[in-house]
Amino acid sequence: MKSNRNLFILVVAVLLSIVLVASTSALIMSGVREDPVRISVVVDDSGSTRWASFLAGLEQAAKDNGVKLNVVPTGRNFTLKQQQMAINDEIADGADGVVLQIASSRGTEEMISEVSNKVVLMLVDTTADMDVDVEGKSACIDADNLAVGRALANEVRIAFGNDLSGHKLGIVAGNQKQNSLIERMEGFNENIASSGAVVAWTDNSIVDVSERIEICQSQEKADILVALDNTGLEAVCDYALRTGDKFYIFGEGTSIKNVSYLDDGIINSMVVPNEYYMGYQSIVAIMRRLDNKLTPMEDQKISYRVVNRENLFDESNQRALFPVVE
Amino acid sequence: MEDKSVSKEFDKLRSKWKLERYMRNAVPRSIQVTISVSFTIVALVCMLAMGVALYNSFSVRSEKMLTDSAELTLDQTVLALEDYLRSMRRMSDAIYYNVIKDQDISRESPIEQMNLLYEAHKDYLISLALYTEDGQLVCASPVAVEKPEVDVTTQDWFKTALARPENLHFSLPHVQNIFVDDPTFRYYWVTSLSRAVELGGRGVPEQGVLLVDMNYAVIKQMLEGVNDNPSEQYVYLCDNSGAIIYHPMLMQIEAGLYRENNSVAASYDDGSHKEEFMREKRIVTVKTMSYTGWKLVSVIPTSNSYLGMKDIRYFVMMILSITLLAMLILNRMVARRVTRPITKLNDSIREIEMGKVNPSVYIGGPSEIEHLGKTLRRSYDQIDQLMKDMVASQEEKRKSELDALQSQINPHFLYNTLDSIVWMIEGAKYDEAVFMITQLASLFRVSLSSGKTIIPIEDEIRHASNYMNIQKVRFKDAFTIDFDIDEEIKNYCTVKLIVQPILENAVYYGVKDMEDGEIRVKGFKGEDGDIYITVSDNGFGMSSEQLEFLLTDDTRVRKKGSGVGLINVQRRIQLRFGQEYGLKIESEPDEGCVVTIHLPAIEYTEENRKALESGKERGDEE
Repeated sequence: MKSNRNLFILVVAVLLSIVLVASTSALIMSGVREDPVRISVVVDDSGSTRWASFLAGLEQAAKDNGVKLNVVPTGRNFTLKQQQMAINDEIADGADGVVLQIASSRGTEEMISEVSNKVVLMLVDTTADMDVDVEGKSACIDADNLAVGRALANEVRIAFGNDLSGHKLGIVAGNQKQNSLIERMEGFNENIASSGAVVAWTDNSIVDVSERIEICQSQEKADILVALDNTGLEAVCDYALRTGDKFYIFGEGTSIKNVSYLDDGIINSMVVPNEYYMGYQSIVAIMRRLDNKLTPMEDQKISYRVVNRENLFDESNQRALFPVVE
Repeated sequence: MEDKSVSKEFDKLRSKWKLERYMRNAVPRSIQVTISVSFTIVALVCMLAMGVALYNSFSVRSEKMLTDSAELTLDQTVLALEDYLRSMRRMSDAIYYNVIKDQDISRESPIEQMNLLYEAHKDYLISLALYTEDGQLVCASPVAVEKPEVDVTTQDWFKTALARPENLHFSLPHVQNIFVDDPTFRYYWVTSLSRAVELGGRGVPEQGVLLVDMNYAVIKQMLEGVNDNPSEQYVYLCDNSGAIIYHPMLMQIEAGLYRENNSVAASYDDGSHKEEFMREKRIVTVKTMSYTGWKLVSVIPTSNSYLGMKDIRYFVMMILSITLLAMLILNRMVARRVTRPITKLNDSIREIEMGKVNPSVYIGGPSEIEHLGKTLRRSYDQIDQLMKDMVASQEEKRKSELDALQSQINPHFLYNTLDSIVWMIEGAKYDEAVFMITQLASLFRVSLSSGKTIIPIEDEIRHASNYMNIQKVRFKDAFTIDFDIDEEIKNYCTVKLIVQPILENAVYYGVKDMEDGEIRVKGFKGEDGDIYITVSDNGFGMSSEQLEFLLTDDTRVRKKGSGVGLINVQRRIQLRFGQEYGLKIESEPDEGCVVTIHLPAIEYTEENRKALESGKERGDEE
């Protein structure tokens, strides 16, 4: 009985000592600042103003979550290999997560698998081919590109009262190696087919787009120009301004240049994905994964809005279109 | 039905007993544990009470500190903002009263003065512009190209200015949609300060609108400076209807990633308010700005409490574990010190319980315990003395009983024998009288045995023989006696005078009235190593009922013999040698009687005799 009592007191004393040691060390450790999580961002042409909204989202999320963000400086049309090299450098520099706008959606299984085995990988803007990922080590956040394509076609149809007969379409389809643009194309074609419009040409080039448009136009002139991405839309507008001809221009865009073209009436209508949300959520998703490795990452879709000259300065559109206060 | 309820009641009672038994076993009942537990509980309760009181006081103070600090921050920020807005209003006043009102703008444009004012305030301004009532641009600074298809009359700032011409109006932040800055594709976030103005100089006074587009970045930077701290506290600005002018998480709110309780906050009076929003408790402090009616709101989330809550939690855990540990050690020490005298006394009692000879009873500690110890010592001594007295008296009693038993033989027998001798002398049978006296003398010698109670079997048999010789004379050889005693048993111990009473019974109840009575005395060592002496006669024998009473009932009145019953013999043997020894009587009517004396085989030595006589016989040992 007595020895039982002594044992009980000893056990209580040992437990209390453990709690004391643990709480003291936790108190000391809480004063020591942990290294912040490092997340690297690899997107095509990182200096482009088309990323302004996306970067604002990234930066805000990084600030909210105490993340050290590094946007890797990239030029236009980086290849997969170049992107992989940049990512490897970032991982070597201690990156814990990577936000990647992949250059091509084809043949990416090995690269995605390799990167996601080392760091948390978040694909943005476009999906890509990947092996079965039951652990959810990577995910993609992008717009519903089929819907974006359909919305663009809708805008064209609305502008012409649903009757496009007699009009010719020139489509700047952008990088058709990316799933996002393939889907936009698919959505657009699907929705425009019954309108009676004739597609004069479709251009998939990713370099010297404005010049390529000029060549296409010289072969068969289209009066309605549709661009499926921001670069293409800028190129179309540049072409229109250069020639001085009046075209009906529609497209997907986010850059202030395109907003300005819309404001100037060069662009008739523009689909703008909520890239602020895409940037913010990509960091949040990576942090969530880093905090809890057992929770698989999930794909997310972002919303988009259709903007034209009339609603450009609407209160609801201003924050999305002009994210930077100057 | 009744059975079931009874059984249920029984089950309940049983489980209650079980619980009580379990509690008795589980809860230690020593004084030390009771004191330790009581001290710990009291200390814990005190600590908890103190902790709660301290926490409350800390929480109230922290809350007050936070609200005070928030109010101070708000006051300072409001001052800075009001100062900025006042300077903008003054500039608007300056343009209006000093330039526009006195000038004939149809002849002379106020652009130069406006440019000067713009240059003086260009850090805070995006543009200055003067419009006519129908939206025509009169002049603007800095020089800019108006967007071709812009109609300012549809813009809010223009409409508000004309709708309420007596006031200056501050708009919500918006992207300026008036001028073109084409080459750089730049758009500016502005807060428009607009007012209705009187444009003179055209003969008929005409109304116009003066627009001061303030750079929204100035307000943003001012408030970002306030929000630039690591805590979760933040400040935001809204107008009197709750529309947000600045919020650190405005983009998240726009993107649907965050929500703010701005519409409710706008209805709050100035001061601090507690609210719960999105399952989060917060302290909201509101300060209304003069003129604009804008409200600067400070939000302090309190759910995850104040600065460094985690640290406080660890600190509390640390303090709690240190206190409990100290309490455990201290309580144990105190309890041990308080209970040490009681424990020692308890140990003394345990020694007594264990039967330790002459235990040392602890006398010491506080006066109460000392008194208890002394009392215990005294009680123990008394009990010990009483025990000794009791043992002595018991021994005495036994001895006296033995003596009494032995003395029972003498008077009766002596009387009869002497009577026989008298009769012989009277009948001139002097040889027989001499024989009788000789036998009697021998009998008494053995009977006395120098006061010994234990004698050799040989002497006992001699005594029996003497007795029988006397009896044979008395009864005129009416029976025969035959002694057959093994030589080897003659030197073993026996209680004296045990055969004689049996022979006496054999004579009086067996063969006395027979013509050919026979009595046989046989002594031998049995197979079990014990001594057996049998006395058999061929007398009348007795029934089983009589047999039954022979060794159990000593209250019967004897009609014949010396008066020493077999029961006396039995008791004496058992008193000396133990219960397993004694007499065994076998008899049937007309078949005679056999009485067997069963004794242990203890060799007759002086040492053994003394040991048996001093009471250390087997019966006592058991």
